[in-house]
Amino acid sequence: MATQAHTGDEHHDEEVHISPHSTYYWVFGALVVLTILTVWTAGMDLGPLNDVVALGIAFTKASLVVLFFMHVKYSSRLIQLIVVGSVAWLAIMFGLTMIDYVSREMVGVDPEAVPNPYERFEMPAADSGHGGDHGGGDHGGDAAHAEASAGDDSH
Amino acid sequence: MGSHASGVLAHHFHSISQQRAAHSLGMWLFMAQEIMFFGGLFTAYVVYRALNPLDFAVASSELDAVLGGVNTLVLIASSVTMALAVKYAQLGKKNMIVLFLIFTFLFASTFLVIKYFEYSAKFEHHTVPGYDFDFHVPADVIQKFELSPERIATMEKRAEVFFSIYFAMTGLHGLHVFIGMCLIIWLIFPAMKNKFNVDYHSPVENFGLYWHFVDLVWIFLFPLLYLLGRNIH
Repeated sequence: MATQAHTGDEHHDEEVHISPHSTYYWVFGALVVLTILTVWTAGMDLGPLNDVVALGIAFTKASLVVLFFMHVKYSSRLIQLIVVGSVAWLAIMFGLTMIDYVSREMVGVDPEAVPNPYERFEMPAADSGHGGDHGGGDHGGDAAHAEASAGDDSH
Repeated sequence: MGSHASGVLAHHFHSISQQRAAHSLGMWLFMAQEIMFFGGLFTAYVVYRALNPLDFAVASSELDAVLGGVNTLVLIASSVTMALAVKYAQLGKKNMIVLFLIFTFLFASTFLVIKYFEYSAKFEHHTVPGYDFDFHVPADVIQKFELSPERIATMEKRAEVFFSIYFAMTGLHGLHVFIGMCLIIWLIFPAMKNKFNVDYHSPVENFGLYWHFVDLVWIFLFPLLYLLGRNIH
């Protein structure tokens, strides 16, 4: 998978880098194989590892597309910085958002004082169209729902 | 460095390579914006799925992973034909540019046709949020996870959240595919007039970046939306 005569990565991006056809073909092959792999592994029960595997494969595919189809491997440092920067900002958005969501209980926020994100999706109790809605909620039931109704009462 | 005789160098640029670098930089900054644009929806996905992992897996298993997988392959193929169109633009081979733009266009339309069948199935099965939504948790799932009637009732509501996110994300992605098809038509005309050559091919190259980005988004959407529930049945 050596790519053409331009050896080394640090030629001064003055010239257009033209990849040989073979580069596109092997990247295509790799993407197809990885797609099959992700479908195959999704059928296994790996617990939390399912997400790790699926995202690992997705990031590998994404890297192939970015590096070889979008030519970032041969782009200027400035372009490479924009790519890395975009991913970094995305990580900040995910990270800070999730820090909020996962830490609410840890820091002692009263769950009933936190707005239930589903409130707008849930019709008030009147919506009992789904048949047998009463019965013992033995199996952990649905905490969020209980919170929502509790919240409604206190308003 | 390219020749200056071809008359494609705009007066405010010093050289062909500087012009090309500026075109590329502008496009990449737009791509960074696109990443954040879709990033907001991915964040919504992450938050709601983290709050309801099982509900999302059950709702996801309603999607047709075969159609989603075929569409993944279609988009990958379109990325290859687009990459080759860019290569021929870099070489200034007029007929090959047009041919590979047409290939890319055909793959893009195949993607949207398959998407159309998927969406119509959702309307038939009442899994379109806000439109007579009526989702039922499959019996084997109820049995396997010993779901209480309350849990089943909330799961059927949470499924609507999953499908809202599904339609928002695939809808925005589909819109990008459609815009991409319009842009291909817009590119074919100058390509036929032999406007692209070794010194000037930024429009094709930058559209290529956009098109690969559309493929990138789908690379993440496919496992995150279609494959979640593959192991719960």
